[in-house]
Formats: sequence, C-alpha cells, structure tokens
Amino acid sequence: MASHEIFEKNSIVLAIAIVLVVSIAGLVEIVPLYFIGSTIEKVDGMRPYTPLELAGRDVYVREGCYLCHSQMIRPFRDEVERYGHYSLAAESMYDHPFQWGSKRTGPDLARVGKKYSDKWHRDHMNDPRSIVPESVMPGYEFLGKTPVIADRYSNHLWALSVTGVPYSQDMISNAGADLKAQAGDPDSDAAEALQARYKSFGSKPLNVRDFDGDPKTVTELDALIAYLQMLGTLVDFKTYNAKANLR
Amino acid sequence: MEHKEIDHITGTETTGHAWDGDLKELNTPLPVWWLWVLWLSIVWAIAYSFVYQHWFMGTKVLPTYSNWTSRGDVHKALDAAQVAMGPQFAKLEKASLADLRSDAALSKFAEKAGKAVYGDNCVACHGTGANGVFPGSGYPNLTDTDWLYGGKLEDIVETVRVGIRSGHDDERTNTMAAYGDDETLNAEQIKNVAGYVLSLSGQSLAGTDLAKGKQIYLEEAACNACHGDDGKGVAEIPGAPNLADKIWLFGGGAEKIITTITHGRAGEMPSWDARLTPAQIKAVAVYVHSRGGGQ
Repeated sequence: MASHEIFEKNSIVLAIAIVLVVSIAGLVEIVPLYFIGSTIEKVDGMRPYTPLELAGRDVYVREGCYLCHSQMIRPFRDEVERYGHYSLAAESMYDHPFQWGSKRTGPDLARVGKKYSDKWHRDHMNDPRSIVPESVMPGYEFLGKTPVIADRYSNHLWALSVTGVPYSQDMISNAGADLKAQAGDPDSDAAEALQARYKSFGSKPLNVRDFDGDPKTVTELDALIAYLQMLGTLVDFKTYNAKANLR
Repeated sequence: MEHKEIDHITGTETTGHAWDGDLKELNTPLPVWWLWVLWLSIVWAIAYSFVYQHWFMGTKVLPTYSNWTSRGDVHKALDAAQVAMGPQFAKLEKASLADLRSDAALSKFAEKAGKAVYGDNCVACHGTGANGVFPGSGYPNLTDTDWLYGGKLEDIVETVRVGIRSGHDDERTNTMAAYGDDETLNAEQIKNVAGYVLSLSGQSLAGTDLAKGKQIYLEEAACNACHGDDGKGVAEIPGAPNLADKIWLFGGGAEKIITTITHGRAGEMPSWDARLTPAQIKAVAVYVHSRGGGQ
C-alpha cells in the first residue's frame, strides 16, 4: 500500500503517470510509421491512379465492393498459384484508403487486371449470372447509365497530393480532360497528352479505350472497368527481387 | 507508513484505513500463480519480439533472431512444389499429342494440372464445364468440334498464349466488319444476305431473296473471302466461323445474325503469356483438348 500512496494522494502525480503509461502504448503504434519508407519495397512501374481509374475506385468504394472482395494476395502457396504473385506493400502505397480487406465472398481482385476482357466485365456488371450462373453478386446495371462527373477530379487529385501521392500540378489541372480522354479514342491528341503526363513514373502505357462499349458518354462503368483492368498490373516483376524483400 | 494490522477473522492484512469508526478494508494479495503468469508473459513477449519481430536501430532494420518471414515461407513452399512437379512440367512442355497418348502417367498429370489452371483462370468465360455457359453469349463452347483458331493441341496452346485482340504482340485480330455501320450494305441487303446465311445451315428467313443474298455474299460484301464460297470457312483465314453448321458464337437467330452483319463482331480473349508459364499453358491446352472437341 505504501508504494501506491503517492499516486492515491496526489492527483497531478497520478495524471502524469497515466500520460506516461498511455504514451508507451502510443509510441509502439506511432514510431513504426516513421520507418514505413523502409518497409515499402523498391519496385519499377508503380504509378498513382489516373483520374478515370480513380473515378472507378470511387465507384468500387461507394458500392462497397470491398465487403465481398479483398485486394490482397496473402503469401501462401495456394493464393500465389490461384491469383499470382503475393501483394506487395508498394502496390498499395498510393491507396487512400487501401482496399486489402479480409472478407472473400467473391474472389480476390488484387491482380484481376487484364485477366478478363472488357466485354466480360460489362456483361458481368450488368448481370453477373448471365455468364457465371453460380454467382451471388448483385447486378450493377445502372453504372453503364450513370455519367462520371469529370470536373470534380482536379480537386480529388489535389487532395490526394496533400497526403503524399506524387501528382504534378499538370496532372491536377488537367484531371477532367484526362478522365474523358482515357475512355475515348487511343489515338486522339488528348489521349497522347494523357500518356505523356503519366509517363514520368516509368510505368507501362496506360489502357486507353472505350471500356463500356458506349463511346459517347464516359460512364461509371467505363471508370470501374478501367480501374479493374489495371489492378495488379503495374509492378514489373521481372526486375523485382523477391529474395531481397523477404519480411 | 508502518502498519501491520491483521484481521482476526480472515487472517489477512488490512489497508489500515478505517471508515465509520471501525470498518476496515482487507488488503488481499494477488494469487501467486496469477502473478507468475503475468511476469512470464512479459518475459515471453520481450523474447518473442527479438525472435520474430524486427527492431530498429536508427533507420536501420535489424534482422530477427529466427530469420523467419511469411514471404520466405511461401518461397520455400513454391520451391518445394517446383522440385516435386518441375520435371513433370518440363516433360509436358515438350510433349506432343502422340507422346501424351503413349505416356499414361504424363497424360494424367497434364489433365490434373490443366484442370487446376482452367479452374483458376478460364471458368469465368468458358464455364466450369468448358461449354461456354450459354449458347450465343459470345464465349465459345470448348467441348464442341467448332474451332475458330484451330482445335489441334498446338493451335490451342497458341490461342491461350497470344489471345484474341489482347494487346499481345502476336495477338489474333481477324475481325468481322460492320457492314451496316460503315454503310457497305443497306438494311434490305443485310436482310437478304442474312437469309442466305441462314439457308446455308438449312434455316430460312421469311421475305428474303436468296438469289440476291447469294450475290451479296459472293460479290458486294465478299463474305466468301473469309467464310468461303460454301460458308464453311477458309483454311488460310482463321477466326472466320463456319456458317454452315448450327453452332453460333453470337447467336444464330435471324435477329442476331442481322445484328452481327450490321455492327460487326470482335470477340476478345486475354493473352495468358504473362500470367501462366509455358508449361501451365500446355497443361491447360491438354485439358481443353480433352474436353471432347480436340482434333
């Protein structure tokens, strides 16, 4: 009892002791964040999302796709054989927030990019059971009828740049035009300008085409398919040294 | 603060505080076993952190005592699988159809490995039974004998490798033109040629002039350049379907055929060159080949 007496009889001393004890728990969680740079693998090919992909990602988050689909291939043999290389920290470094997830009613989508054709994604979004009879996924037919509001993406890119995503001023100011260009003719001047803008990250050329089969309007379906078709395709695994990044 | 007052009834020390004159609080010590669990847990946690967790020295990440990593584990498992299956896959990669027919063990291995690859990658479009899910959906049935790009084992390997309109360097690109959209044919001509096309497989479309349809087929639209004079296709031009059978990739009714002629068709299949190893591609081709239609 004697040893506790100082805390029990002096509220200030008690308060200081509480702060000290709580700080230990805080430090254990906060200090590692200052070393996060050293936990992200050095990879070639990663780039931030283009405005159209970002719009698709917004649809993904808004519709709660993460409730049934994860975006993280765990480091197990069965996962790697089914989905491809296990996910790297570097692959979600521009995600705010990340979509890793721990619930898989549907399959993992971390490397769904280029796995299926655009037509498959269109058919599947409009009516999943028209091609996968055993699917329990809801249909998202309205996406193909809902235009994307392109003008808001300059602000969106700016907000992400504040959190550390390396968008240039050029990318931020041209976000609206870039968004429309990516869902249009790949040979247009606007598409070339878009490719040139995102070339600086040393990544592969962007997917530029009409994703939803309706060249007239840039719809949420364009955006979502553009997002899905690039997922997990950026990192160049030919130059990635897996054995040097064991952790 | 010195006090050692023992409560007479319980034999336990009191805190020394008195309320209400003589009401006192027992100062029962924590059970010894509980305290031991606490201290051992703390020792365990510290030791564990050195064995499994990375500590930092400045910005330098220190190695762990055990050197265990989840990524190291998966590489070990994959390497072990490679040792176990590698020789079989290497043999499979070089095997011809005749080799597979004479080597029952290899054939069985290819079938099993191919089924696994098919299940992970191909079912979404071609269905769990390889039958294309629904006729006329645009996703080919792999169990019939109608092959756009060839049904020999090596043809299937090549199709899986390069895909169709996939963006691969060797992609297959033969496209059905949009005769209505690009104004080569008017609506009446399209109807007549659709009637003629239907007649090739023993069907008919009311109100069409077959002679005119045939002329368009052979001359104005030159459908025969790809589909052949008899509608059975041209060997040198893969991708153009046989119009004289009753298998229709995009639907065989008059309405669907008119849509096809008007707007054209350009199916897509991804290339699996980057996602699968050559041995896996061979395995899945063997599996597809064995589904009933292989040539």
